[in-house]
Amino acid sequence: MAIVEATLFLALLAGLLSVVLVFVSKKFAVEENPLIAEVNEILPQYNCGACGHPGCAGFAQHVVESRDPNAVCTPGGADLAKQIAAKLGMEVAERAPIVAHVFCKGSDTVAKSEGRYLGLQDCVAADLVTSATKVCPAGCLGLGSCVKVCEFDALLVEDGIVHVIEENCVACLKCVGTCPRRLIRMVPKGEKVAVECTTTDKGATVKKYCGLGCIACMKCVKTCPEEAISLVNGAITIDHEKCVLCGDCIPVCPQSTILGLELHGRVLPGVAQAEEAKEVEA
Amino acid sequence: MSSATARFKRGGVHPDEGKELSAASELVTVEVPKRVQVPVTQHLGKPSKVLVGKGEDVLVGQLLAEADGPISAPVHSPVSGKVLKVADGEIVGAYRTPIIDIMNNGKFEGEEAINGTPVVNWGEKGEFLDRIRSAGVVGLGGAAFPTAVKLSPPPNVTIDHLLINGCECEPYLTADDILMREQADAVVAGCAIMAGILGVDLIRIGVEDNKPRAIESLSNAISQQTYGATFQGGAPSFDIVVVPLRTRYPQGAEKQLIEAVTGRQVPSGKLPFSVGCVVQNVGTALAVFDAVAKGRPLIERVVTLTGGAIANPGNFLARIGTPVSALIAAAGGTTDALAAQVAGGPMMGKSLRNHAVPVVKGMSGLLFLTEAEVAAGEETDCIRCGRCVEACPMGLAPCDITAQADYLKWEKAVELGAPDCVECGSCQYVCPANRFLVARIRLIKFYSRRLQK
Repeated sequence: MAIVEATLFLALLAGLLSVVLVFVSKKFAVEENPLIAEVNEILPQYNCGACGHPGCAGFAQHVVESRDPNAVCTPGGADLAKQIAAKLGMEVAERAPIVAHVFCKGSDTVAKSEGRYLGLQDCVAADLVTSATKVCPAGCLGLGSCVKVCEFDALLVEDGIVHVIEENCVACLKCVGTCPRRLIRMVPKGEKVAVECTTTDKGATVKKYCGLGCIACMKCVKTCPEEAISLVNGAITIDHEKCVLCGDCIPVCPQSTILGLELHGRVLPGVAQAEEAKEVEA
Repeated sequence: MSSATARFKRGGVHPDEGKELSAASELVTVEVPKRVQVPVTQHLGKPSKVLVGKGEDVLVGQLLAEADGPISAPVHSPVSGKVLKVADGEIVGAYRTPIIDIMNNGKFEGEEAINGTPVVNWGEKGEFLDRIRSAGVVGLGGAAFPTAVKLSPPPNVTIDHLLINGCECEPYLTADDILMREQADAVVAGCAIMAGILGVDLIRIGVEDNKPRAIESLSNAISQQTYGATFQGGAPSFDIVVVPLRTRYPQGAEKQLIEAVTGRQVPSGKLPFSVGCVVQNVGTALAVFDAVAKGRPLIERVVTLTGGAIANPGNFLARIGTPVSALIAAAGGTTDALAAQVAGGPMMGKSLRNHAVPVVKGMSGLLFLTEAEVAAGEETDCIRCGRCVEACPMGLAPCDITAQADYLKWEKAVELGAPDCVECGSCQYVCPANRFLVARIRLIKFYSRRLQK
């Protein structure tokens, strides 16, 4: 008999509680815009934080609620921006895809090093005690702080400097803030010309320590037909908005600091390795 | 060795002293080279403002750059000659800083004006502080904090002790030792001047018991009153005592010295003012004496060159701006065994990247070490032995704090007390896993400051 009693009692209790639960769920329901979930679904789910929001869900909520046309998911690129715009029924500006670029080509082969650093293998730690071994005060330290923060395997240190594997870079900007020498900046994807040096030292000094360093001779500035190249705070800089990729500046540079990225036949060693590995796997 | 018992209570280490290498030889005056490079900023605080330009003639002791703001210090010319240029160059601790390049004419014009018979006229006591400030005196123990600022406590605190740091607890260095041995009178007179400025009569000179000759010569200067030879106009009376301390690193750290000598503890985040103390280095005391008694600005200092990879280790009196290479030449050059070079002491010094950098006010020593002395081991994982906790003089747990750094948890590390770290390196010295604990704590301090902004 006891088992029948217990079963009946529990059934009754379950019935009562279900009524309470239904009532509560109706009464205290939180209305969430279904668009948020929809937008979240099409986001890359890298949770990289480049947008400044706590993960992709945070970004979805922000973009749906604010309908901010400037809110952008950099890893998603232009395609994603269009999809989000279509879902929300608003216009977005065209945005060229960007990619990280290291403005130093002073590898151990071309740039002079001196001294010996035995401490923590971290660029910021070495820089805090001014113990970089590279003589150039602006050169890449090559200890890989940026590599550590990159979650997409888009950076690697080779021959004393860091390289970007553009295929992997999603433009999350994490490396940009990490570099103590601010050598990593974003450039339009597929950009073909860059001044690969940020030093503000005098030309004679630069020549003593780097074979590729910019000596600020101004030849490129004079050559550029679009006036896209100028001296900004002591460093030669290309305005990528004005640059028409004519490549006229490349042959005039006496230090080969300006590299036509494609013209120079630059194939990253890491890319070749990755492709080899893929082939092996296949 | 005497049997001193006083020392700071918590933690600390006792590394191989290595002082015998450089302590025995006489003080050598380094010949002033044809060109000197005088950095504009040689102190903690705001960079000074350059007053001279290219082609200008300067005299010894002439003001080259003036203090900019209250926490700053002026810089004076160590030679007479012509300013060649003011350009950016490298010093220890900065990749690029403005440097005044002077061609030395070898005549030392103006030297006699700042190197006369020393006279301390106590009737002019009110001017002492200004003389110290305008002579560009900074803390010569290494941190190079402007001395005049430390001698001007805020009005709401009572100072009852002037502590003089003669510990020189860093292994290998003997620059302070040789000053205490050879110029004890001037050092003690400098202490008296600073006590006069502060209006205190208790002066305690803390010296570690591995320097018995320094203790003896200071004690003699005090007991036989020879330090007062240059005093005029009625000096106040001082209670000066040399306190021998049991050798233990980092006894010379401000908070540790206060505890060792007075038994007082400076609270976390507070300055020595809060327990009624002012701490100055013995080298600073000498510079103060020169500034007040001779009107001589700080244009030279003693630098220890030592280590297993230098031919003749010793102490060298060099003008500020002399390239390190000239000091190395004076010490007979480096040997092939050179494996690492350090500016400062082995525990807290910075790496010396090249020999072209000039001597600055805060440069206490240059070490040229052999592979055996460096004894660099491969860094491995923390084995949680707790030896760093035992060694930490600040009562921190370096292993816990630095573990946060590896996971980028800067705020948590700050909660665990990272800002109290004095970066003395005791933890790293004892770590059997060769962990770079201090570098990680520096990272924590750097990133947590950046977060606050």
